[in-house]
Amino acid sequence: MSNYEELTLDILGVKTCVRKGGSGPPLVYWHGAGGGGAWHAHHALLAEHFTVYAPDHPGWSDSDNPEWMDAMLDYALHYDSLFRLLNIERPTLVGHSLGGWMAATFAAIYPTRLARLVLVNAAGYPFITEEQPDFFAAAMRGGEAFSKALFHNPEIAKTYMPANPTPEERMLRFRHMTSTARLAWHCWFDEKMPQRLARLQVPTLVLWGAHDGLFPPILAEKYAAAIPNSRLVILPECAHMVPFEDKEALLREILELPEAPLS
Amino acid sequence: MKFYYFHLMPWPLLPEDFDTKYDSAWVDLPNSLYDPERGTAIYNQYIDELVAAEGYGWDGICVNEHHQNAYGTMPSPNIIAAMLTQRTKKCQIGIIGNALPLHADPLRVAEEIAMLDVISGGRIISGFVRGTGMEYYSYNVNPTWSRDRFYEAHDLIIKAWTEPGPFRWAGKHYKHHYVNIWPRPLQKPHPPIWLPGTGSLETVDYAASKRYPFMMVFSPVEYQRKAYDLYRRLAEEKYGYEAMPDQLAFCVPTYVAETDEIARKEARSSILWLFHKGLKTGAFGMPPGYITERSLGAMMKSGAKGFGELTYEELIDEGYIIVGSPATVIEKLNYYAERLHAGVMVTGASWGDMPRELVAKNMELFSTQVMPALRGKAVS
Repeated sequence: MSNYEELTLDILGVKTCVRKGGSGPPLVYWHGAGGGGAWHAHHALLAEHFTVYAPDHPGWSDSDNPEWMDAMLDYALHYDSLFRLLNIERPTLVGHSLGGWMAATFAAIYPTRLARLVLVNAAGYPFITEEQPDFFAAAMRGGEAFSKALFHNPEIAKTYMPANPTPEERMLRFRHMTSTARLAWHCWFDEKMPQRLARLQVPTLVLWGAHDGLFPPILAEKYAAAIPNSRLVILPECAHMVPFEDKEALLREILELPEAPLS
Repeated sequence: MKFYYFHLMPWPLLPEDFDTKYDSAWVDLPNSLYDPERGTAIYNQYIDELVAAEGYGWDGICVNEHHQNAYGTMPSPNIIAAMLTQRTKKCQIGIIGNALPLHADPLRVAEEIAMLDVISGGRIISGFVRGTGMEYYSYNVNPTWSRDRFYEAHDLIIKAWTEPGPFRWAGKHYKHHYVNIWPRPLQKPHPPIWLPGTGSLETVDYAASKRYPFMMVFSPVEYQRKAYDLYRRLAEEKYGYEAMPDQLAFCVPTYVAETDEIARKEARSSILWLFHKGLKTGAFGMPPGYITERSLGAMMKSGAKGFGELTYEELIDEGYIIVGSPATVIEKLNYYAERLHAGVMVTGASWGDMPRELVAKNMELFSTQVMPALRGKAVS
């Protein structure tokens, strides 16, 4: 695993942990509801081509847990401050799941700030199918059904979903679910996302696992259709956890994507 | 000691295969299992029981709020309470309680309780609860707001009842240009507030700070003791007063029969219906953010069993329920009076799917053979 450093930043009073590694143009990776807290293999792989910044969102892992941050706008503004503090200019922004919703929101607010936008099995688009489980009940219920919704390959699932979590792991998971609930309990999207996405000016990759049991691929199609300059890629052997299931495809598809021209 | 007759109004006709087929009696239990044709008789039987309790000399009768479940079919307790104002004369009517955070606007609760208080001639007890974890799924209310909204709704209701309107309200969750409820409640300064709960430090502290009666619900007697000790200690050391027995209430299902043996035998299946079917909550019991991390830590540390894991014998031995002859029940209640300093018993006679004749017997024996023995008893 490549080297990385842990930065602890004070963003207007909110302590934020950022793992940074690699070299090259900047790439920011925003984790999903269960994420944060580690330099994962997909970070390391991306770091072979990019300077990767992987923050723990406020409310997750090693960052502060500010209860007032309860809207996507709070996170988008938080990361604007973080980008300016670290002088991150025109990054490739990768958002997975909950982080994808965050990234889509950020891109709509700042349509000219990114080199690329990558939405991976992203929440945020207003569409519900009867087949979609209620995320929070499914997560609390856990077991094989939840594991299958997340991972297409059960062997990979075993690696990331401990069968007997320790009390510390349970406590951290409760915190992550609570932070997620602050943002997504009522629904996993913004009603006005389609109108906001029309503002996007950045080349966008919509990357999705075909077997995503939380946010089915129909949402990928909706996202791609709503974003002006987008490319849709569905991975047939993945479910929801694409960065953990096929990091090579993640890297490959990002590199395929042109950067936004300097405006 | 004072006695309150509580009815949960369960839907007793769950199918034979409920235990194996359904994970929960809440949230997603298909409502095709509810039969409105039979519901008419069942509702009216339950209301008759509450009314009968006044005749047996109970101090009050109680209802509460639950949503989308088979455990308790009173989504609007205020509707049942309204009927009870018309069919009773003297007893208190406890709504224990309205689930404040579940409602978009607490002013509606303030208005309805005020209406009931005026109509009943000042007989209303107004319990406030957060609602169960399950109800945050059923009503899609954010559980991470639960405490916050509860406190703000409480403050708004109390102010609406006690201060002249109109006034403005600019809270985090509720904003009003005109708080000016008509009618105002009859009781002064306002109807008594009760806080039912399971003994978390936050809730006990809040109740003690406001001097509100705190009611422990469906817990081992040892947990009840700890909660009352905490309440009394906080009252004395933090808030500077001595807590009275009428501030410590316990909600414990009770069944009385001729002998211990008969009582245990007759109550068994209905009590297990309550704890193993009615309180079967599947994945819905503990939504994220519904409790604090501190409470979660305490809960994991205590290693307390879920309701579904408790045997009938454990329910009796640990004091979740009281089952026995009048002498046995009196002895256990004496323990509450003498050792726990708890002076308000909230129980009832109808548990789970208990047959009507056993409910009638339980009510009669409790009312005529248990209550009198504790009536005059000074709770120390």
